[in-house]
Order: sequence, then C-alpha cells, then structure tokens
Amino acid sequence: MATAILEIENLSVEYHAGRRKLPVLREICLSVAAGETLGIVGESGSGKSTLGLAVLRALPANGRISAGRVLLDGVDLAQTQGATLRRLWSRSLRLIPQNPLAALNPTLKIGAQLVEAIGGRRDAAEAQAAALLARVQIADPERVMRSYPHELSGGMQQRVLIAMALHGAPRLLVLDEPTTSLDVTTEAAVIDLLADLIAERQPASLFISHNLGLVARIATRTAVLYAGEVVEIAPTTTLFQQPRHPYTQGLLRSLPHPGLRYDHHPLQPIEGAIPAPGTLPAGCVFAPRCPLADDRCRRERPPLLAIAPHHATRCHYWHRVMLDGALPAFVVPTTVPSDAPLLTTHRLSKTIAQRQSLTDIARGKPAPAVQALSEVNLTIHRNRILGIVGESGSGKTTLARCIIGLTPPSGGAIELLDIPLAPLIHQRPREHVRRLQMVLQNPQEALNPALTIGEALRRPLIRLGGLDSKTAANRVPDLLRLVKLPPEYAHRRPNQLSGGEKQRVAIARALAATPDLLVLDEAVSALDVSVQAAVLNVLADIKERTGIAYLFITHDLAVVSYLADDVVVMYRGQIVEQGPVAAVLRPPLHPYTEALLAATNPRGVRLREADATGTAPAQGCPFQPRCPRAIGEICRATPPPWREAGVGHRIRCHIPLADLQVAQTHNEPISSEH
Amino acid sequence: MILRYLFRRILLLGATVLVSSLIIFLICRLLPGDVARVLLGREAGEAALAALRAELGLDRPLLVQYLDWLRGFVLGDWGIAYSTRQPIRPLVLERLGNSLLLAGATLLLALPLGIGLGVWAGWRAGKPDDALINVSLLSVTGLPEFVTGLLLIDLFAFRLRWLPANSSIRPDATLGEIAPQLALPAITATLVLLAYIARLTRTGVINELSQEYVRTAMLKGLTPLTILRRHVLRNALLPTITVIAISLGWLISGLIVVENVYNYPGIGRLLTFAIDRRDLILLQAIALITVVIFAVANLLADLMYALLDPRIRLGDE
Repeated sequence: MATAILEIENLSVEYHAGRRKLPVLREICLSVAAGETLGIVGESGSGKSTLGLAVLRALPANGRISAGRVLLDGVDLAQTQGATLRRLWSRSLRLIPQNPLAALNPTLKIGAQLVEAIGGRRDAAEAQAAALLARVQIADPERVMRSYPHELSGGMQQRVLIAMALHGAPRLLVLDEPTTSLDVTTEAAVIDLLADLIAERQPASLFISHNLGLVARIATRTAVLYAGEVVEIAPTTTLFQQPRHPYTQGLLRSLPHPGLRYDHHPLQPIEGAIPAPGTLPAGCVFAPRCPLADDRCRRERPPLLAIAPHHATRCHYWHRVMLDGALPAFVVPTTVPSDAPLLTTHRLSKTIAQRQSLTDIARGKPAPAVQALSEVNLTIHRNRILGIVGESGSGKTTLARCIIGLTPPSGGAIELLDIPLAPLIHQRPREHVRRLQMVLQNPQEALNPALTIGEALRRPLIRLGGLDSKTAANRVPDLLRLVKLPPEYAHRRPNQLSGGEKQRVAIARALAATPDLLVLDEAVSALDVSVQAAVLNVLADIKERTGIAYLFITHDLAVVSYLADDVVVMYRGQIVEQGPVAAVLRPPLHPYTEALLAATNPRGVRLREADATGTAPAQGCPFQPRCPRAIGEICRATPPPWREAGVGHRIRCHIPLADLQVAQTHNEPISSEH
Repeated sequence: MILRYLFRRILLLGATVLVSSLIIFLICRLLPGDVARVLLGREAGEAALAALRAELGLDRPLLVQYLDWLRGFVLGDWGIAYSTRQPIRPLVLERLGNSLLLAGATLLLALPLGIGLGVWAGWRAGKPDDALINVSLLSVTGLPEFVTGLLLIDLFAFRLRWLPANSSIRPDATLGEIAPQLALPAITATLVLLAYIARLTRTGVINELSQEYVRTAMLKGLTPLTILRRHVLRNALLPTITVIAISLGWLISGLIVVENVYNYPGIGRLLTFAIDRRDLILLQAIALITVVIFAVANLLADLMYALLDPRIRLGDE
C-alpha cells in the first residue's frame, strides 16, 4: 500500500449539551493514501458525519476534538488555528456534502460562488470555473454560472459542488453521503464521475455513506462505525464476503439482494437500537444487540484486533462470526391473480401548473405546465403488492395522491371494486376513506407530537372503524403487536421513539381502519438498512396474515424485487412497462427499466441526466431524448405502441421485443436499421 | 405577465381600501353625538340644527352619504372640515408630508442603528456584548414615548439647550431650519423602533449562520468578516424589508404621541385634533389615507422581496 497522507490517530470528539459532555467518537485510528478512497459506513447515530467534519475541522460550535491527532501530510490539523487553518481550507481540504441545495447560498449566482472559492483575479477565476464545470460534465457552463442554485436539478447542484471541491490541488476530500439526495440514475453517473476525479487528482478521500452497495462501488477499503467506534476495517471485498464483526454481518443480512424474496429468504434485521451518546455500555458497545455476546463482552471492551493483513475487528469472538454461504437465487414464480381487481385506474391524468419567479415573469416566459400523470391504467388485486418505480418527477407520488384523494385528477377515473371514487377525499363516503389508507415517507412529520401513540391510534379506530372509545382503547395493543411494538408504547409520545418505531406506528395507524389497500410512499426510504429490514418484514407479515394489498412506491429496485408481486415502471407521468416482478426485472426489457437496474452496476449503461427545466417532447416517446437504445426517427415522431411481452406483462417501446431480448443477453447496442 | 400580477395586486389593494372605507365610515357614523349639535353648541334651536344637517347632507340615507363621500375621495374632493371650514385635502396632504418627513428621518436613524446592533448581537450570540445589547434595547423599548420624549426634552432642550423643545415647523421653512426641529421627535420614534428592528435582524443573522452554505463559505477559507458581509447579511436582512414597510405604516399613523409631545404638525396630531373637535369628515379622510399608505407599503415590500430573493415565485394562489 502506498504511504498514507492522511493519518487519524486516536481521534476522540465530544459534543456539549448544556453542561454535559457527550462523547461521539472514541479513539478513531485510520489512514488513507493519496488517491485512495476509504469508505465509512454505519447507521445514523454512528458518528460517521461527525468524523468527516472533525477531520476537516468543520465541527459545529458545540463540538470539539477532545483528544488525538489528524495528520495531513504530516501537519496536525487538530492543532491548526486561524489564518493557517483558513489557508488549509482554501488549498487542501474539501467537502462534498449530502444536501447540495442547502450548501449553496440561495441568493448568489453559481458563477459568483465558484469564483469566490477559486480566488485570485476575477476573469481568470471565471475561466477556471467554466473549465471545472465542463470537467464535471455540465453541458452548458456559461448558463449554469448565470443561474441561481434553485434553478438547477439536484444532480447539477451536486456537480457544481464537486467542481467547487476540485480547484487547485485538493489533498483531502470528504464525501458525506454525496448522492443520498439524488435519483439512482443520477447517483450512478455522479459516482462514476467521483471515482474518475479521485483517480485523476489523487486526494485522500473519505466516502461516508449508509448505503453499503454504494460504498462497495467506490471504496477500496471500508471502515464500519458503530456508536462512535471503528468496529471493523478491511478491504471492501473482504468486508462484504467475510465480515468478522457481528454488526457488519448484521448490516449485510439486512440488505435486500436481487433474487431474495420475503417468503423464502426473509431479511434478518439487527434487534435493538444504537445507544445514544452518553449512554454507552461498559464492555463492547455492540453487546446489547449482539447474538454472540456473553458476560465477557458486557464486561470487557474488545480492542481493535488485527486478524489478517489490512483487516481488523473489535470483537472478542470474531472467529465465531459465521460466514453466509452464497444463497441460492430463488426464481419467483410468475403468478397472475384470478380474482376481480380491488382498484383500477382508467386513463388517469393530471396536469400541474407551475409557479414562476418574478424574473421569469419579467422575461416574459410562459407559465409552464407539467403533465404529472398521462393516461395511467393500472390494476391492484387483493393480497398482492404492486411496486411503483421511477425517478423523481416520474409521477409516482402524484399517482398516490390521486388514489388517496389528496389531489384531484385532471382526467380519467379511479374505481374501487367497480365503484367510481370521488376525486377528493372529503367528497368520498367514509367507507371509501376507510378502505384506502396511506403511509408517508417521513414519520416525523406524519405523527402529531402532542398525542400519545395510543391516542393517535384510537382516532382512526373511532372515526373510521366505528368503534366506541372504550373498545378502541382495547384494540390499541393489538395494533401495536401487529407492527411488532410492545403494547406499553401506547403511553409514549412520538419524540420518545426512534425513526423506525415511528414509522411502525404510522403503519399501525393506517391499519387501524382495516383498509383494503395501503399506499406506501417511499415509506422505508428514510430508514437505516437494519431498521428498513425490520419494517419490510413487518409489512410482509401483515400482508400474509390479512390479505391486504399494498401500493409500494419506491426508488429502490432491490426492495421491489424483495417484496412486490407486480411492478409498474413510470417515466415522466407515463407507464413504460408493467407486469409481474420477475418478468419485468429479470432481465429488464424496456431501455428505461434496464437503465434503472444498471444504475447499481459499476459497468452498466448510464443515462444522460434529465434536464430539470425541460419538458417531455410533445410527440414521440417521452424517454427518447435520454434513451441509449433509441432507433431513430420513429422514436422521435410516433408515440410507442403497447406490446404484450408475456402474461400480464406489457411494454411501451418501438424496438421489437426480440431485439430487446437479444440486446439484454449480449448487452450490445441495437442497430438503427429498422 | 408582471403587469398581470401587478394589476391583480392593485385590484386587491383597491378592494382592501374599499372595505376599510366602509368600516371607517360606519364607525364614524355610529359614534354617539350629533355633528350639528357639536358645531352649533348646546343653545342652538331645532330649525338651525336641521338647516345645518341639510347643508352638510347629513339628512340623506347613510348609503347615499357613503357613496357620495367615497366618490368625492376618489375624485380628489375630500370635503370641507366641519371645525375649521377649510378644504380637507390640502390640509391632510400637507400634514402627511410632514409626517413622511419625520418617518423618513426616523428610518434614517433607526435602520442603520437597529441593523448594526442586530448584526453585532447575532454575530456574537451568547457572548456578553450580545446580552448587553439585548438588555439595553429591551429597557429602552419598555419606556413609553411620552416618558422618553419628556426626558429628552429635559436633557437636550432645557439643560443642554442644543435643540428646540417645540417642533411646530412652519409650512415655508427650509430643510436647514427644519432639521434641528426634527431631531428630538425622530430620536424618540427611533427608540421605539430600534429594539424591534435589532431583534429581528439578530434572529435573522443567527438563523442564517446555522445554514449549511455558511460552512461551505468557511471551507473556502474566507475570513469570518467576508462570510458575514457576502453571505449572511443579504439573506438575513430579507425579512427585515417587510418590517420596514410595516413600520412605515406605523410611523405615519402611530406617531400620535410623539407628534403631540413635540407639537409636531403631522398627521397624527391632525388626527387628535379631529377627534377633539368631533370633526368626523376630517377623521374619515385621515383614517382612509393611512389605510392607503399601509396597503401601498405592503405591496412595495412584497415586490422588493421578490426582486431580492430569486426563490420567491409569483403566480396563482
């Protein structure tokens, strides 16, 4: 291994909360060579973002380095102050943050913000800014420099920040969840770009992420953080194939893999929750949640043991951590439901008028309107799970809101058991409201902080279930047990619960009305993998027991293939492919489905980024401007026809099915001779 | 498009003023007391009272009186004051001009001082100087204008003899003559506004300092002063604009006490005069013009906000 340029020695960080000092990082030792990317993974609360900010000396005001050294090229950053530190920030230390929009000043143009980072003479800095934007594959640097941050798409904003981090000769690059706020297709392109740039500029890089799959694609070595400690560090492939810490193993077992289904290989979530800072157990920090823990673990804190070259773990019983054999991929039988549909949409459409900025109004731009849904036909059956996938802007959430009645459709109809539904929820009879319930992405915002969990669950039981308040109170423990929460939780308030527990309460509340269909809008996306695994298992269990149907909206195809029976792929408000999950995803036929799947593959096809301001072409195929397999004029001029690709499997594409199948098996471009 | 937006906002402004005018008119008419009796005195006979009522048009139905008054107001004929028999419009406009002058002088003092103190306190939040600024501002605001006014007169006019105690400026005075007369009323009004502006600015600065883009700026290696100047101030001061607009409205109408303490011939003083004399028609005109100024100031604030913040979107809803 090349010599390290970043060496973190026994780094400890604490936060002040009032008079209390809370240790958040304990004795971290890491080293990174030039051009190397070290992955840092862990659940929220593990201290991984704090680590990134601490090495950059950018901790918030209440945090401080309490011990240890951070050596960059031999200089201890922990001891640097004032002008010296500012010079280091300007020349060597760089951060690419999670939320690019928040990291840019909303009222300054991109050009000004880049020029300021580059420094020096204005015209030279401007030329360099344009060159940097071109280097991060921004097609029109001049236009972007004249734009305000909110006028760019999330992917473009992140490219701007990457460009900002590139000027000069960066020595240390901290990537703090740099793609978490992006679509999978954009994420894939940004990760490729970052890998390229790190190889080119040779900084030492820390790649911080909760997403293990992502870390595996970019990091050569990976450290696993738990409760402020490095519990395992190893070359990434070793870590994934032979984890030697029960926590690492737990994370890997929580991850849905292609080919795994809830009914054959259920995920194994880690029990319990990460300890809060200041409440660390005496011995091993993971002992309370560890299946291998014994008295020694609870008494004696294990050291970080080197067990192989470049592989260290903080576990007394690392040799007992069992390796998982390769799981046999299970072929999902393609089943087609025979009963009458529960809910159908007929040519459901929705047009949304956009608002304009004063400057746009002054420039005389016409007010844009977006076709959020365009003639969407879909069918949901009892006891089945329908996954809806697509990038942001594909109309997934609008579809959910139309079905629930939060937004009126502009055209088309929704039928529940062949009875047309009123467009808005307050126009619908109570019985219809009861049958269709929804769970939102963020349980924090969905639960009233003033109500106890019991009160929150009683309300729908009384209002929609028609129970009197005493019977409703008696039903609350059953609901909590249904989502695998202890009945005592009825007396708690939302702020006493973890994120995963809150989401289970939100699910329990939606189930209180005994609905026929539960709409889950990115309901597990904000959760840590181990928590997500637990919630997914709860959902699968409830479906098996009650025969409820789910409309499962997600950007995560692994989750869809784990849970869903059928899948609908949406692009810009249109369905481009729909059918049984096995038929749609393995192998993918539609070029867009293919691109979504390929986004997690290091060598897969990449899409050009969607232009946030552009609208879909008025005629032809909506996906055609980004389609890597477009076959020419017909794609631009004619809307593609629906083709039957199998039982219940339909695809909307001009390319003949046989050609798509051949392209999939050989992964080659389709000739444009048609 | 911008014209359409402006047109809609002005229409809305018109509606606001219309509704206010009806409320003002009704309140003035429903007040107890007979205008004719007030004007002619206790000994006046029924015949004389009836004749005066007919002359003033007070015997007509309320709706006709209202429409007649409104039409006159829009067309520029604001009527004759009952008490002084002067035309109302030139009187109100002259006093309004004086009040605007005082308001302008007050803002000239209060804005730089309030924003300066607020930025300082926000930048040094939690430190002793922040606490000192907060405490002194709060104690100043706690004093009513007539107390601070009298204290200032006592100090500057009687003890030090720097400034005049009476600010009854003549209509034909030059700016140089007016300036010393403006000083004390403006300082008194400033002390009322100061804490408000400073605390709002302080909150804005503290809020912006916690934003992530400040960390981005810090990691560019900028000095704290540059970060404050280039990044924090512009965003932190945006909400202050709305407050300035609202305080402009307050300054026009709310200076009653200050204008009376200094005998300043502004619209607030005219208002107390009108109330004293039961001069309802003068009172109506003053109240309505104040509403117009409030509404216009708010519209200007919204437009300015939209111009300064590129994220604000104007449109339907």
